[in-house]
Amino acid sequence: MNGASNRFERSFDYETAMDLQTIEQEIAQLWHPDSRGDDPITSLATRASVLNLIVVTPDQESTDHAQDVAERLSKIHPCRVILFHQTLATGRRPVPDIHATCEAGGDEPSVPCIERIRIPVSRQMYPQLSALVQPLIIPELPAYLWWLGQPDTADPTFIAMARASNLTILDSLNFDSTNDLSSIFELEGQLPIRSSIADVNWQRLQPWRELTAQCFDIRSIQWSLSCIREVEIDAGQINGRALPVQSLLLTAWLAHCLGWQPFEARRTRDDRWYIGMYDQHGEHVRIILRSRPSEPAWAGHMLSMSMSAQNSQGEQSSITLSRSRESSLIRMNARTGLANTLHHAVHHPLLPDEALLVPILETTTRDHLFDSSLERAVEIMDLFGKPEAT
Amino acid sequence: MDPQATNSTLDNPLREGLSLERLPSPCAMVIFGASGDLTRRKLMPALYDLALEGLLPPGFSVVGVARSEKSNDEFREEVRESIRQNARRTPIDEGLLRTFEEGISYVAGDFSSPDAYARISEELDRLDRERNTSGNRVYYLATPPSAYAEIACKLSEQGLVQPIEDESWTRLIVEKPFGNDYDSARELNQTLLQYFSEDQIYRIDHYLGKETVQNMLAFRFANGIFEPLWNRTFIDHVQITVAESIGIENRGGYYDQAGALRDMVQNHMLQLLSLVSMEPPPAFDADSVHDEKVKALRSIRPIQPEEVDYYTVRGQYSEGWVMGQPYPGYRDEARVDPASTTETYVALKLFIDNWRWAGVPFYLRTGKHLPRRVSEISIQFHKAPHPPFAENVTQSLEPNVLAIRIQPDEGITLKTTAKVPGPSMRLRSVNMGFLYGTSFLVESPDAYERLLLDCMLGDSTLFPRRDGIEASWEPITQILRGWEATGVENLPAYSAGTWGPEEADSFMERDGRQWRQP
Ligand SMILES: NC(=O)c1ccc[n+]([C@@H]2O[C@H](COP(=O)([O-])OP(=O)(O)OC[C@H]3O[C@@H](n4cnc5c(N)ncnc54)[C@H](OP(=O)(O)O)[C@@H]3O)[C@@H](O)[C@H]2O)c1
Repeated sequence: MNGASNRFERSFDYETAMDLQTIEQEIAQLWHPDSRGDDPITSLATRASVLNLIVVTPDQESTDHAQDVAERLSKIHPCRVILFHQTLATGRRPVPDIHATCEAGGDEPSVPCIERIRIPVSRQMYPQLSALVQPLIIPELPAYLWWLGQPDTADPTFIAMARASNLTILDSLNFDSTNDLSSIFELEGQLPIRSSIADVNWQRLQPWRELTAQCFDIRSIQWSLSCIREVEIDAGQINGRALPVQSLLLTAWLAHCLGWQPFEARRTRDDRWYIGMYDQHGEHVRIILRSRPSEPAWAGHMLSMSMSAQNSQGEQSSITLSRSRESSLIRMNARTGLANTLHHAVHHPLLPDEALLVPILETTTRDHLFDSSLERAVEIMDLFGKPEAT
Repeated sequence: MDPQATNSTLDNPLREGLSLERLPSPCAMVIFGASGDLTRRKLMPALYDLALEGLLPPGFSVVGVARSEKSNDEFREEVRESIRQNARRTPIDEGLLRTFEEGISYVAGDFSSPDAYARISEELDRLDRERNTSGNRVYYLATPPSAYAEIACKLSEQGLVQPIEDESWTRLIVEKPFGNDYDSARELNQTLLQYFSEDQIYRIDHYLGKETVQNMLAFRFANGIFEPLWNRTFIDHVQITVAESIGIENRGGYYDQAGALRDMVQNHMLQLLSLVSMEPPPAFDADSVHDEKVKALRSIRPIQPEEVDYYTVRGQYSEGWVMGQPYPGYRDEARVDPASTTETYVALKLFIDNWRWAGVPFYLRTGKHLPRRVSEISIQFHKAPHPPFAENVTQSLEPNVLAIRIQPDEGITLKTTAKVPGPSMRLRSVNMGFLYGTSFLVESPDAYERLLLDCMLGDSTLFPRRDGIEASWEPITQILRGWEATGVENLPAYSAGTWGPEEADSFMERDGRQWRQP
């Protein structure tokens, strides 16, 4: 929305015990025309809401971040945000903060876009989260649970919240260990069919997957898809941590789509990860994953991927995708034989969380491709033995 | 979707589940009329915006064709400038722009010269070799309409229409205006169809690329509650307004030949009319949607020559003020005949003779230099049959109106009646507004972005089909004939900046109705 923006805000801060009925009344009050200073009868404003976003944050920093993101998200997905932040000292009373914000362009009347209920929770209250959230969600609209930080997939509160939501959103970029992917996979198996899990990190891979797919739309390169022999993927190093989740997920995706079967995996002496797979013709595909030092912003993010192929006639091709740091592009170079090269680039800066969440919040159904890729990733992890991934 | 649309990309297993099922296969686009206004203001910026969204295929290339001599570099410089000025998304990503430019080249030549096509052919061969465009081509006719047939013919003669390889495809985009009456549109269709098959031809009506126009289909057919009301039993009448605040700008030569009826009604407004009145299609594919639209268009009752004065009103703007600026009258505009009788405003009353709409008038109006730019469709329902309130209460009772706003502030408003709070029963109209733009503050793609992409993908749902174009010219040509027969002795004038001639108001009042104030 261009032009000047009208901003309408209204908040309630009150010190009471957690009285959900009061919260409900306060929300209704927020939209009362009087509280907006409008003519009560001509401005029977309708407000659009498309979803409930339940956010659970572990600390103050992530709470502020989540709040900013939710506010920006609401411009595309007008919604009710219920934010639980685990910052309350045990024994203290929770002070919910209820707030509505709307931004509309130009001279248009304000159209409410976001309702935010922010509730601090203490350790004591934590087990009640699932019971607290149920009466607060707008009925009939899907509920998304965005869990910031590392979830404990054995935690009954987390499981109850995930079961009560249509989609639980996690971010494997921040996982302490690739082992956690396995527990996510297990958890997904336990959820009812109407609930599923989305990984923000998988969303980050979208441009890489798209560009990789596009390479093989080029007719002169298409043949190489069935005879890829080697794949190398580089990612930015995370605090000396081992196997980058993004690279693993991309490898697993390739394996799923191309019918590759992993049969061996090991960490090499030069600190790389080697994965051996058989393709559909029983040929060997070597995959090397590397972590390299990078600026902090790129830690855990894929930086480049190269693939080389050779067919039975000895024809060769190679494809390189690499991120250019300066201009927010991912560049593609493809070469078949000696002569045929192709350059292509897509605009793809490091996306902020809201941009990654927008497409995730458009779906409530299971992403089978993610599920299958996750399954493959877990298979690969198993091949590393008891992976010492951190 | 044309059969060629099932291109090689479907053999690519890596595409499974990607949101970019909507990514076209590698191709080259030849723009005829590459130095023109449309290319500069719309096409190049739309292509750049598609590139920015990652929606252009690898190796995508553009060959610009026009008469003026210039080098590739000069053309690229022009393109760069046009993108900087007109791209939707700013700031410009210079790195991406450089990569985009690598795929741009220019061929100078007259559309009538076989030489030019030989050079285009060489250039396309080079792109196939060097940029892997795989023999896939889109030809975009951004040229004066008089050149459409000739270019199609020359392309065919030079062997540029047949796919070079079996799996490659060739498509042709034709700009508006498509003909200037029924016969010329039919003839143009026949000519183009000598060289291209129907599923290779994409006739542009950029209105159909607009997000809200597509949203209208969602509104009507994805909701269960509106369709049961969408008929003569509940609807009193429908108004379609496409008002422009601009005048004819520099297009006097074209406009004076065309007029408002040809320029706006035959294409955009009849497309809107068909979308609002069509039966639900069995599927949302090109043919099913076109079939229903064409049926609706064919059901428009023809206006006989002797009826034109009753069913139509014309007007021409005289000098006046629009949005605080003074403007000359139409006859004083450049390249306009000082005695011109071309209409810059037209209002029509049409009937759709079918079971659903029998007896429901559709009022259409469009004009240049009206007070503001607005396009909307309003559906006025019958009044409540028996409001059980005292007479003084019901006097001011207004019928329900559902207004679908297409531009500028896209959205839907429903006018309902509510009780004024207080001890007595007093009623008042209330507008419940759902403003698409302010409820979802997301920027919609430009219509040209959508349409260029759809063409590259082989999806013709948003492009009128041959029979649709002809069906829309039929009632328009009847009116033109009627106007010709009755002549124009006193063409009503309206001051620029007003809502059209007074005659347009009496035209509605005669039916006991009023134009909505949009
Ligand atoms: N402009 C718009 O906003 C708009 C909107 C809707 C529809 N359209 C339609 O789009 C088409 C193009 O409109 P426009 O406004 O871009 O027109 P324009 O500015 O007059 O451009 C016409 C183009 O055609 C080229 N051309 C004309 N005759 C030629 C010939 N014999 N050989 C080679 N090149 C020739 C011109 O190149 P040289 O000057 O180098 O000869 C120029 O590049 C028209 O059909 C128009 O109705 C335009």
